[in-house]
Amino acid sequence: MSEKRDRIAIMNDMLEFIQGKGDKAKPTQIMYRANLSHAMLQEYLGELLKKELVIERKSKDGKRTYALTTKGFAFLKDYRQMRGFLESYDLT
Amino acid sequence: MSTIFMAPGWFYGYDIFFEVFFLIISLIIALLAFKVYKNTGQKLARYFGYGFLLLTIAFLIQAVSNLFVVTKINAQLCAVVQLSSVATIDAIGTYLYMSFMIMGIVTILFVSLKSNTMRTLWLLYTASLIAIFLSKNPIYAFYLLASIYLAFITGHFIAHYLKNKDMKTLLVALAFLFLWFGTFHFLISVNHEVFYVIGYILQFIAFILILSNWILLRK
Repeated sequence: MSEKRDRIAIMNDMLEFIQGKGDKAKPTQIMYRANLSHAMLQEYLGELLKKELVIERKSKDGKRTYALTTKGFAFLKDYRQMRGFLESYDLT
Repeated sequence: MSTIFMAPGWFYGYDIFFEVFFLIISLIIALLAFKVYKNTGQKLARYFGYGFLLLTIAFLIQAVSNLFVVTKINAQLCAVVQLSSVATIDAIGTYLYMSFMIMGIVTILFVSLKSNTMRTLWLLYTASLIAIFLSKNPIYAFYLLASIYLAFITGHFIAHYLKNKDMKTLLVALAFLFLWFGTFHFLISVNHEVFYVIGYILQFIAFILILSNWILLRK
């Protein structure tokens, strides 16, 4: 992909991180991992929730964590295929 | 000017199976490219999809044209009038096939050049079609141009493989190398029937490699 990450690449980074954390990713961890500002994190998390790619869980002490949905896993699978396609045919 | 007379008699009919296989694989790649464009907005993926869609149409035309010709010959409708009409259908099919195929190859070449100027694409379309249709031997001109363009495309994918060495880029580079070899053999087949069959086999290997890459991407 290009050096400047596009929207779909950022979403993919976030979803991969959530998957890697065993579906217990905290917002701050996602923010640092995806290299986002707080405002951008809220925007992207909102989009992921809206697209039903992740679900939000709240613990008893009010802390939020995120987990992938079936759609989220499908996105990651498709994204890898799409990125593989772009890279193998040098379409980036 | 006809493709049917380039192929050895025993190969009539078999070529249709190859063409149907080529069109299925081309269509799969075109649809995947459009899906990638829809999700990522990569313009090159869209043009690449158009390139393979044009190849799909070319193979479809060739398969239908050959099917028609083979069916007519098999039906032993060899009276002068019928034979003439068969040759006309074959000639129309051949011209349409060459037009769509060269536009498909030109589109893939345009993508490999990473040009953003649409005028470059239209210039290549126009120059290629005029060169083929005004040539004294359109088939020869078509295969010559296709060989030159595929040589450039193959060079691009080999360079891409050398920069990013993995199985997927290797498969793509080899696929276009075989496509180029195949087209070059078609160029020779204007005078030698056996090269026509070898051309199909080389193209078949190329499309098997493209299919293998697609299977790898799905894993």
